[in-house]
Amino acid sequence: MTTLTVELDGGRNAFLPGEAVEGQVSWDLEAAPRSLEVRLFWYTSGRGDADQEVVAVEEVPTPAASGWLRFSFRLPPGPYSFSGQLVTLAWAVELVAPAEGVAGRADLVVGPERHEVRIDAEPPPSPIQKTRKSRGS
Amino acid sequence: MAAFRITTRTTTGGSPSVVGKLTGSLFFLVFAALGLGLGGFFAATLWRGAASWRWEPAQCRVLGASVKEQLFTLPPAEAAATADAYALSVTYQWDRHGRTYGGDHLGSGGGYRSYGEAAKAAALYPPGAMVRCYVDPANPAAAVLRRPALWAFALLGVPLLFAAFGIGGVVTLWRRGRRPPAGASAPRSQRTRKGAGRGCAVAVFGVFALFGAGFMVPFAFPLARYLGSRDWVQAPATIVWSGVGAHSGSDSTTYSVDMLYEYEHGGRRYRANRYNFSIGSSSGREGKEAVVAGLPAGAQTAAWVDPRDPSVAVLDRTLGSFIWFSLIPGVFVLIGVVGMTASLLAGRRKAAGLDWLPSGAAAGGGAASTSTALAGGGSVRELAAAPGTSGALSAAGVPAGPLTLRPGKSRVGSFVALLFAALFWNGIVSVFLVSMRSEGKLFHDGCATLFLVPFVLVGIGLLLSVPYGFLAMFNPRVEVTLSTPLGPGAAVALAWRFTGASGRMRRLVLMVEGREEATYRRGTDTTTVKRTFARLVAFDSDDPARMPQGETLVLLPPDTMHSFQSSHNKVTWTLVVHGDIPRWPDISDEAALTVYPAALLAGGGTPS
Repeated sequence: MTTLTVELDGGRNAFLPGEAVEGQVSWDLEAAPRSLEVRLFWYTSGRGDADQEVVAVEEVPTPAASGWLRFSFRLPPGPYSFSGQLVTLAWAVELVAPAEGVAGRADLVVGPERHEVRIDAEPPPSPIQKTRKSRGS
Repeated sequence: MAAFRITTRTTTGGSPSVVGKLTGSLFFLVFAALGLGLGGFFAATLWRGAASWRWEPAQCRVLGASVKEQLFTLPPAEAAATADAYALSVTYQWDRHGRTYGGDHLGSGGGYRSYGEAAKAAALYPPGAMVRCYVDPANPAAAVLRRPALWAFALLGVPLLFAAFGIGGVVTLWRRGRRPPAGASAPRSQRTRKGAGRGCAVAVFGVFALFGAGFMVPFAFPLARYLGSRDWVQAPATIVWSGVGAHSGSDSTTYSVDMLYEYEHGGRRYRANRYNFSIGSSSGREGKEAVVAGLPAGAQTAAWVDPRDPSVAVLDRTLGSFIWFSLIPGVFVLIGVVGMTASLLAGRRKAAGLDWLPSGAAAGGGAASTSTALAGGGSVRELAAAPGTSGALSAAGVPAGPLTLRPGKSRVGSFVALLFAALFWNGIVSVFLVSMRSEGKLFHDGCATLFLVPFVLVGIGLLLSVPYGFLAMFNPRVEVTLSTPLGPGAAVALAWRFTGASGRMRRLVLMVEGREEATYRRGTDTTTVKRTFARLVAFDSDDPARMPQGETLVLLPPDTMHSFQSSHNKVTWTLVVHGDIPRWPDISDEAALTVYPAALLAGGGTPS
């Protein structure tokens, strides 16, 4: 049984930009992986093609078939986690064995007040449209 | 901190189906086969041609060296077309295994366009001198003085690039699709080598520039020769032979003016076969025939002679209109250079870990990199950051206020573009209309007439928009200033000032809009969808006294999203300026704003 897990300290999964994300990764593979990496990254989902960016990487030195490691990342000032009707952006920490193509992940939220920014509400109507309507009538 | 960005085509990071993989593999295998096949063929040809590189170095004694004047010895028709007017001839001998051998094989080159070049080469082989030569170990009677240049092997890179792309594509396709074992999931994040994407973009644009430069060579040589011929002198010349040379290619035939003429300079008789400075041949037989008809054998004319090397002459030293064609490869060079520069500049932002901010927002490039990457279309004008309007950037790359926005795109330019589009479109459509009318099909062939209707309607629409664009050129112009960069929850003073006849406005609206934008591909179509999620009216008045200039506060909600951009997804903020003018095109300007995350405005840096 192959397992890769990422645990954030205190079970916390919401952070302010600039805060430290700390925790522990553990793995149990059938054989020692060629390499093992802990990655901090963001990714988009929604209507558009998905984008992602790996912001920071900690490489596990000479990994055995099983083991554990503590990690610590400092979050950048952005982008915030947000959710819209077309685009959603989320953050995660992932433990990856690239050559074996396996991973374990923990999602997190990065934003002001440690909340995801919601941009899915409808805006008020445009006054310009009102101008055009009033001229037309 | 290192930053890596990857774009995937699926929203879940999943792998393509088996059919997809097979189709993809077929596509990549064609590339690989083409690359390997062509590469193998080139390599074998080059290997055979470079045989003398495998020969043994030896010392040869020069017996004699001379320059053969081919233009006097070859038949006139052949002499008129040869590129090697002067041939270097060297005889030499060498010792091998106790025996002495003799030969005159140069091995590479030996033909020259001018006597001066050939004489210079001959001077390298004075009689009696011992020079380096290369002897075939399998046949000691075979030797050469020169070995061919090896630069041609560099051309192997092109087919090998194809092969690498094909093989790499197949490997990536099948590696990506591996199913993870039970208890684990496939990685969502993908890491690329730092700077690989940028390096790739620079390489692609570099190839563009190189191709452009390569195609400019046929123009560069004549230009250089033309510039170097200003002090040439005229000499009476007699045409010995003239004709039009035909050069059959794989898909067409090109032609050249082949000319052999004789002249005197410094008391010596010379022959030359260059008509003008252009190299190679080109299409268009008639023009060349006219030249030949004007200069038949025996005709008296004047040649331009290089006084430094009188064997070099030309009959027509004008450049001709063909030089304007150099602008076509010049466009390639321009695209390549601009693309390489942009890619390198983008790399600077990526290195700062802020490439999710819109372009120009945090490039650290000085005053022009303010929060004003601007967009517009149709009657919407673009605004651009005014150079020198803002101060230095903070350590985090955020520009210090105030930030001034001015119209960046000339309204005259927009009008000219609209006029050009209208004339171009209607010009093409009118060709079809006239053709149908002359054939009696217009209004009689219902199907053909119906087919043209939408094209005609678009043309009419374009023509009607021309006067609209013309009138819009005379609209008042607005200049907007922000006291500081924008951020969620930060109050910013927005000041505006109109120049021109702002008294004509009946109502003015200034508002800030937040939009989300997603781009996706379905098959070969790329679609972008946009949606407005926030709208803040900063100013809305019909009071004529308040419209020409004023100031207001813009306060974005503290819990809203900052500007964001990735390859296919964006959050943008836009300043909309709308001026309502009765019986006249409205003012409708837009300026893209960069809204910074609070941590950046507070001076926070990039992660470590």
